[in-house]
Amino acid sequence: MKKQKTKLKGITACPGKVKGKIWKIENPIEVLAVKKNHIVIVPFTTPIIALAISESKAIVCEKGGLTSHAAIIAREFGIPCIVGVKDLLNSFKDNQTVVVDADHAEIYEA
Amino acid sequence: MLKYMKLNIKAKKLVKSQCAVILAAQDKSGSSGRWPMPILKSTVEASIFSEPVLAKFFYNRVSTLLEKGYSFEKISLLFPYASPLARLMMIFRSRKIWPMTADEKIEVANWLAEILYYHYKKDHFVVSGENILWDSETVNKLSFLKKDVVRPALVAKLDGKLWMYTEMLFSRWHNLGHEFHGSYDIKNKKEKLLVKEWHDLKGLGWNIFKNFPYKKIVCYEFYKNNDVSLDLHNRLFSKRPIIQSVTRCVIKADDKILNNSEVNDLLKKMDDFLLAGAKYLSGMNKKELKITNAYMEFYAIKPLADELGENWQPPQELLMKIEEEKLGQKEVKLLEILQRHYKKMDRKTIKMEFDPSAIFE
Repeated sequence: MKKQKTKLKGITACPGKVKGKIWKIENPIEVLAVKKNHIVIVPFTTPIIALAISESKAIVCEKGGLTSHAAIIAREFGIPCIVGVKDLLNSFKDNQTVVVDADHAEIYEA
Repeated sequence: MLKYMKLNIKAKKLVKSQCAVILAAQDKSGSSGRWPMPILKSTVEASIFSEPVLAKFFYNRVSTLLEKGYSFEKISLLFPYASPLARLMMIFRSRKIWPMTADEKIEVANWLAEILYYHYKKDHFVVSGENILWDSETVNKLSFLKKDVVRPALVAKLDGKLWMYTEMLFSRWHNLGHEFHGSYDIKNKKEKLLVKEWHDLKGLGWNIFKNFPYKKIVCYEFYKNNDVSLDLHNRLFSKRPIIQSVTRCVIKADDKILNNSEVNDLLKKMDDFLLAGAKYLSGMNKKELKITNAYMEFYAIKPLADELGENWQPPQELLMKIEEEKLGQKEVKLLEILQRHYKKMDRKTIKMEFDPSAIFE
């Protein structure tokens, strides 16, 4: 039987659609080096990791609403962002290729 | 019988705006992660110390100025920006433990509304999503509006990094460092103007931030075909990213208009400040975060202290209390309630916390 692709839904914080590799950040209070062109998945963002994710293609967060830190940063940078995605970190692996369709508030395996 | 004062019409409108902002911030995932979480259980863990003292200082200082004959309009002029002052609406959640009478607590809301009122040219307290701080004459007088000197993509990067920078600089109190206002109609044009004033960029004079190259950067962003709105606490919403609808941008840093190359240089310099800021914030423990929070809260009412020739910083007793982690029984009980609310607030709990005329059960 064909395995169903993982697809999760949240709330659109900034629209747009991109495909890319996941950078999974589990500890948002650790200082990290900047990684370019990744799709960041994170429980929530903090000022500490903000610089690291400033060159990302998209941000997807397990927690947060339309006025959360990630949502505001993404809107300023103009990159797709989905927030409030339940079970996000358990569902995707680091470096996995996914599509973030923030127009429809979805993240799924490519 | 004790006669309680009532909220005035302006304060009622301000409370309505505050409650709407808090309601909009709630999310389906329950407790939203927010710095300085997870180091603190909630942001209230820090504010419970400083809010009661801040309320008292605000009351005393405004009271003194009124006694000296200042009008609310004159007090309003002491504050260059509206949203840092509007941030004081957050403190009402701890009013149960303020060292003040019921009348005085209501008066804090009434005075806050009276002072803030003069900042807005229309849509007072940003109820309808407009933060109109300039009149049309001021907007149309801007002499450089016809220039198009900076690429929108660069402006988006600059805005993003400045937002992160102000959040580091003021440890989550980001709007102590920015005021977004507008959107303004432009005479004889279909464009609208959004002004982003990034100010106090050297912060409180702390070593890692004091050498930031500019004190103030203003981004004038003209756009078309987008729905842009702001809230009382200066958070920006747009139907689609501003960058996709921007028609032209002008960047002014202190008194200089920047070109593309100068903005690029600034972006590079900013990365060093952001990295230093990240290291600085990540090294803070619970106690340091609470003390920093107290400084930020008192910085919001610095103009009142300056006018009276007083020290704007949090009083020593407050800092000692944080240092010794001394919370009384009532404070501990209130903290428990607020932390319980914090996980998920509905209309009832929001009203209970932020409407000073409501009974806090």
